[in-house]
Amino acid sequence: VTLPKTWEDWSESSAADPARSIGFPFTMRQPLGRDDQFVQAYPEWIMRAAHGEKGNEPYNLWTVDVGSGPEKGFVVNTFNERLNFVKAARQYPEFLDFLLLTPSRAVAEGTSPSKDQITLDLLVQSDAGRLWDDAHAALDEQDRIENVKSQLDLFLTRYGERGVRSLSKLILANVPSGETAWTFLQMLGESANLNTARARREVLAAALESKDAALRYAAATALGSFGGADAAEALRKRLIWEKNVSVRRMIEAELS
Amino acid sequence: MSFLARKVRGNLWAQAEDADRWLHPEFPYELLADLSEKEGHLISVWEVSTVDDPNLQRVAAALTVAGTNKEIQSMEFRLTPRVDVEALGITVTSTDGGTSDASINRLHRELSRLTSQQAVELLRLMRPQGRAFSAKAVARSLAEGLVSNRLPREVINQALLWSLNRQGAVSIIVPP
Repeated sequence: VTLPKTWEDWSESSAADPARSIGFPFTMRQPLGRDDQFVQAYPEWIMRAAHGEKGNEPYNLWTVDVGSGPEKGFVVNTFNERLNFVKAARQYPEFLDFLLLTPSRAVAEGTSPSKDQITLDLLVQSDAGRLWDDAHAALDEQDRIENVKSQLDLFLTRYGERGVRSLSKLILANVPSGETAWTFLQMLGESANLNTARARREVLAAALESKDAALRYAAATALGSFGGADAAEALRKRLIWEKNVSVRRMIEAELS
Repeated sequence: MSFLARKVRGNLWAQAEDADRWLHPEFPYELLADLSEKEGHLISVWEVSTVDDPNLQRVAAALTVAGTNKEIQSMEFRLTPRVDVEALGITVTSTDGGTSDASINRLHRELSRLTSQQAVELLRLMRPQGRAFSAKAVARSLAEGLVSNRLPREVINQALLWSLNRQGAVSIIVPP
């Protein structure tokens, strides 16, 4: 995928291949209102993507809650109202990278508020948080869990190893662990996404060393589903130290 | 001496292993969820001759087919000597297992009319002995059941076939 350099490029490729759209991760919150300084930090073609082809339609800046809340300084400004903008980000992951780099440059030039310290990691974290919430709400319904699995596939395709790392923070930080973390470990073990295989195995191996026994149990079953010599080696290493009888039993079952 | 095996959520039992939580009269309350059924007050168990009885793996395969999960997953059972359960005054009744595997349906039992005290004591009995099956082992048993016609071919759907393939229990060959 080549990032379009001009509005015309983007507009043309968008019309040619609308099926490339995938889910958009942001949760839009309250509008902040027009901010010319901020807007001017962006190239003209992005402005036109955000405000419509004619470039004369009204727009708003929106703040995006990325999960940890503004008290930690995680406020992300982006545009809504115009689906064109969303489409651009959906179709071109590079667009998102480009967009995220732009405010930092703008801050350096003194044209944007300092709160616009945006990194892709924060946005991935936001998407991971949304996925986590969806899974938590879906635990009792198998159909909805299947939907979360599909979302996870898209998430891994979109963000790759960076996405796995974001999810791992949620999994490993929520101790004592619960059904949501166990479900995610299982899904990470079962995923067919080859590009993230190494990162997924590393997360499962890290969870296998957690102080939380239930998380270790879930990691053991997930590593068993993951399969392969490296996963088996991680299980064998843990078995040497494992004191929890239930976890030992499951590791032994996975290795047998 | 026969055993009554109950499918449990192994994660919960792993988390509840701390001996302090079992000091009489205390117990890890969250494990009570493992004794409740979605419908009714009867507790479903399977009677096997020993802890290593191969029939238990067949039960795991049959329960997988009956479940709603699209992926074959690992499974754990907790086993309790039947005489110990009956000694608590719990009624054990033979009922049909209702699974696709007719050969194991006769092993199904139901525990009924438990008091809260009996439920807690049953959990204590379930604590020491368990048996775990990996997803691969369950898949193997499922494939064997299909090959030997213990399980009818109708139980296979696309998701199950894919999962069997993923676990290395079957190969999918597309004819030229």
